[in-house]
Amino acid sequence: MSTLSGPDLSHAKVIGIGAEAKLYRTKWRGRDVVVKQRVRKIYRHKDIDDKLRQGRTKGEARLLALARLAGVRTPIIYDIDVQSCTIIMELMEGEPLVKVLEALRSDGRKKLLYNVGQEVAKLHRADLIHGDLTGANMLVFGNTVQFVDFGLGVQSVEVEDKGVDLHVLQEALKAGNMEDLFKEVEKGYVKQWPGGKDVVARVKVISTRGRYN
Amino acid sequence: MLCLGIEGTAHSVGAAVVTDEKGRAKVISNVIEMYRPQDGGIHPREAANHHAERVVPVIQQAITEAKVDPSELDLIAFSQGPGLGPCLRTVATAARALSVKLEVPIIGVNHCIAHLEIGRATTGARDPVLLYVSGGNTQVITFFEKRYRVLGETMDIGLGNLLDKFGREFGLPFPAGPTLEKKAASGSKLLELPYSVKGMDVSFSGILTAAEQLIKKGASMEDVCFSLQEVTFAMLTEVTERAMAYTKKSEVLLGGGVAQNGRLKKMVDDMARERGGRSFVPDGRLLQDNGAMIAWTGIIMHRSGVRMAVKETIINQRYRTDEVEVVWR
Repeated sequence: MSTLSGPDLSHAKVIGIGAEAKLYRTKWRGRDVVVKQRVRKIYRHKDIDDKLRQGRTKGEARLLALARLAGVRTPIIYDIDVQSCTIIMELMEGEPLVKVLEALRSDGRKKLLYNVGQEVAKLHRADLIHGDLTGANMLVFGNTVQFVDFGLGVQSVEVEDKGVDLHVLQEALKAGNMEDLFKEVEKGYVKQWPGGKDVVARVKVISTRGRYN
Repeated sequence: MLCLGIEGTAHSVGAAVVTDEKGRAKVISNVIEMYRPQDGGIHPREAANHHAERVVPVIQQAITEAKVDPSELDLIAFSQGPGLGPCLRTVATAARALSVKLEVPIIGVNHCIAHLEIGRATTGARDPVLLYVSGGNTQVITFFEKRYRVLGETMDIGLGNLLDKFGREFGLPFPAGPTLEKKAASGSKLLELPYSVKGMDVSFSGILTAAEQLIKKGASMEDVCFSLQEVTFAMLTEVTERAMAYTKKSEVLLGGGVAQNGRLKKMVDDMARERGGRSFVPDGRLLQDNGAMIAWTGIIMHRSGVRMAVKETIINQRYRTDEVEVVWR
């Protein structure tokens, strides 16, 4: 059903509305899928709008695919339609990390966050920055931590960018009163990727400096 | 409560008399004088010299226009920061002298928060995300988790600064915004400029270089001005929308001198409507740096029990928005 105007979403169920995209759940060629469509913004000049949305659609699809190559579980992409700024991808099973953490006791939390650290290290070792490592963007299925929504992601070799990526996760844990468990993330991260020591060191610098620097 | 507010964080010095009428702000007088350098940018010391010469007449005019006697004032509020050190010190000195002489309390106000509070008090916005765009500042601020927080901001220069630097290079008068807006209205061709948004932050310095290059390669001034507006305002509108989505808020408020631009107002309003929200724009003299916003914020702080001894009124050039304990909300 992928046409120039994109997939038919008239019967799809809206499951999320973000600042730049709508998420739908629907059937596509017999599969349960998530469709992410970057919507037209009437406030901006059409040329800017088309270029941004199309570029970001391609960029996100590329990151999702590269993350899989790096050994991290992300949604499988079934199709992308650049014209309509649409990505059709696997509907992932799993519970948001934030919910799973709340339900766990201390030991379970530690183990899970160690695991999260390992998975983030796999991304960073491959120079992939997620850009929004908050509790809703990691889904836990069995023992696997999966990553969704690379909408703010970039490719970068910079220690700073990787540090900021981890810092977002640290802040997210802080919001859930689990800040002291961030060291489990660090442990798993360095275990998975010993070269990531300077990233962990940078996180400490980032979290003390705040804004206006 | 009758409050005299004095503002002097950058190129303007202002004084205003404001009172609260049934909890609402009533601006009785609002005098602003702008320092316009003969050539080049704002030199902090020269701006401070200007303020030192003009702060007394500006205060006198504000009091005269308000038809009050200085002895009737209940409170002196001043801009404590952030801003240019020499300017802040000049205005703080005037405020302290008045407070001691008139024997009325003194309150130092965070300039960025004042932009947001005067908008709330005069436009009907209740709990907005503020897009604050001036010469030195470009920030997205909102009340979140008990404080005013900067959710997004420029990673390098303020947007007004970008426009002024561009204007200076090609002979537009300071501040460049109004002339640039007129020229942009006759432009129509969108030229390539870097669009730099990272999460909720923006970056402008690469755009300045690119715009200068375009002119040097023969592009028309009108088209470059048009493209500058289209690209930079779209960046600001995008990060503002992100902040609204993130904090689940439906109101957006504009603040700062650059927000007087019609195209920016339109873009932000289109964005807000598309989200089912609303945009609010204070009156022009309350958008730019002004004493009224300082006076009003002083009033609500005082009303909530904030008191400052003179020794606590030291200026703070890097006064962070989230440093302020918001006891009035």
